[in-house]
Amino acid sequence: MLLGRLRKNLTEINWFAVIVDVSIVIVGILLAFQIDRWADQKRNQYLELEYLVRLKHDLQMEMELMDSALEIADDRIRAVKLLEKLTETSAVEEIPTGSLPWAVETATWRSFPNITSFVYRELQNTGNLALIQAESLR
Amino acid sequence: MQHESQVGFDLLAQHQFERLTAGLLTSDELVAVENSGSEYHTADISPARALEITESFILNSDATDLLPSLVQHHAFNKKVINEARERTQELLAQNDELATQLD
Repeated sequence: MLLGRLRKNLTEINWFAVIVDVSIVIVGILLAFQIDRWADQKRNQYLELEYLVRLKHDLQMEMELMDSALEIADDRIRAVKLLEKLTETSAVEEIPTGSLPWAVETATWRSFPNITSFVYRELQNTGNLALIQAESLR
Repeated sequence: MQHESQVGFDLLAQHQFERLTAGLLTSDELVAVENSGSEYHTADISPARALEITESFILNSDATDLLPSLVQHHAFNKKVINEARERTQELLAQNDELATQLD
C-alpha cells in the first residue's frame, strides 16, 4: 500500500524540472565560491602590489644608506692610511695639522648607517610574506 | 632579501680601535671636526693641539698596530656593501617587473 503510493508519487514528479532546479542551485553555489575566490585573489594582488611599492621605497632607501656607508668606508680607509703614514714616517710637519683630528675622528667615531628593511620585517611579522609571489624576492 | 636585510658590518676591529683611542680628542674637538664636514681643515683646533694629538696617537702602539688590519677590515666592508648593493639593484629590478605584471 505504502510502496504503491510512493511509486505513484515518484512517477508523477517532473524529474527534468527537479534536475534543472538542483543544477541551478549547484551552479549558484559554485559561482558564489568562485566570486569569493576571485575577490580574495584581487584583494591579495592589490595588497601584494602595495607591498611591492613599499618594498621598492625600502630598497631605494637601503641603496642610499649603502652609498653613504661606502663613502664612510672610503673616508675611513683614507683616514687610516693617513694615520699609518704618520706612524711610519713620523713626518708630522708633512701632514696638514687640521687633517690629523679629522683622521682620528673619521677612523674612530663616525658611525656607519644602520641598514634596516622595515617593510620586509613588517611582512615577516604580519605573516604576509606569502603574498609576495616571487620566491626570489622573499 | 632576507639576507640583504642583515648586511652586517664586522665592526670588531673598529670597536677595539675606538676603545684604544678613546679620549684622544675631546668632545668639543670631535664636535668641531664633525661639524666642519669635508672642510676639516677649518676645524677650530690649534696647530699646537693637533701636534699634541699626533704625538699621543703615535705613542699609543696598541692602536697604531691595529691600523693595517683596519684598512683590510674596511676594504672587506666595502666589498660586502658593494655586493649587497648589486643584489639590491637586482631585487629592485625584479620588484619593478613584478609590480608591472600586477598593475
